Amino acid sequence: MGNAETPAGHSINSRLGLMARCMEGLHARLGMSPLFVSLGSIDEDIAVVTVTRFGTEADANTLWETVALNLINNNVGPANVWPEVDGVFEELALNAAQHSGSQQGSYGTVEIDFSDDAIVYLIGIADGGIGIPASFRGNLEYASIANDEDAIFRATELDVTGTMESRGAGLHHVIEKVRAFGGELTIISGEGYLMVRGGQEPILGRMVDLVRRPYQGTTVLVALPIPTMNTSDGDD
Amino acid sequence: MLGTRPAARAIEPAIRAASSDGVIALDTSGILRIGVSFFDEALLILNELIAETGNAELQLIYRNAPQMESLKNLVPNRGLIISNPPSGEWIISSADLD
Repeated sequence: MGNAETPAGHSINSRLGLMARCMEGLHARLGMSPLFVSLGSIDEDIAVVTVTRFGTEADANTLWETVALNLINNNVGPANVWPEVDGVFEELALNAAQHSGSQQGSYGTVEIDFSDDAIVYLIGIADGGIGIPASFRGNLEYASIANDEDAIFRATELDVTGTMESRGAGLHHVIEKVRAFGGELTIISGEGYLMVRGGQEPILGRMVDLVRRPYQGTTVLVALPIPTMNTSDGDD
Repeated sequence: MLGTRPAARAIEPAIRAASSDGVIALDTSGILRIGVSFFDEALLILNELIAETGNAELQLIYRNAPQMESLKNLVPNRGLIISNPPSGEWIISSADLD
């Protein structure tokens, strides 16, 4: 699925661990066995918000406030980045609350990971809803999109939504932010996935080629790295 | 916390009332965070007012601007421009004036 180390220097295991913890909450709710047994342990990251269930927009709003306040209280990294981090969480959590239709609720978490040369803010959201592709097919304008991965890609464009109101900037803004930070984003929904790494073009694919998913809902992972200046070898 | 589009629409009457002066002053001090959808919807309301009134010089002045700097990136998406004087406020207006 990719290199073991990202350009920012943090391990892919860390991101998979976050995905695992986020999805474990959902799996437990669904009464299923864990998917990522070996990756679920919590390492030395700071948990800004541990995996937390939310359902309504009001729940998402409350959790957003908790993330924002905990980032302030943790006081890790530059203060001007914290609103960007909790802003990503808010947009993804709001999307899940508004559009997923999940009967099991949604699960969100934010962690801070440390590597030799970066602080990495990790944001994860998972829901057990209908997924982006099915949501899109409820909108006549996009009903003809055949592939799940193409539906996810379209969802990242400005003003493309599964609703008829055709106004939406959230995912588009999140991806712009990921690019600006040189970060990473992974969206898994239905049977498709989309990955963005730094300024590269999105990578699209089908999850069935990687792992069998027991539900169609959406999982989004975002990593926003902040390079640190205190390198010990003085190369910088 | 102000995150949703309906939250922005809830203050639309106040924005409309303020627009008669040619300058809409928006101040969300005391609110910890402004979300993308809220801010984007406020931009759409500004565009609607510019279209309805024909006043291309209408300005939205955001005092005590949001701490999420990347919100500025939404402005050109809506055909608007933003200036950020040293006083810290965000001044948003129609790109047609440029």
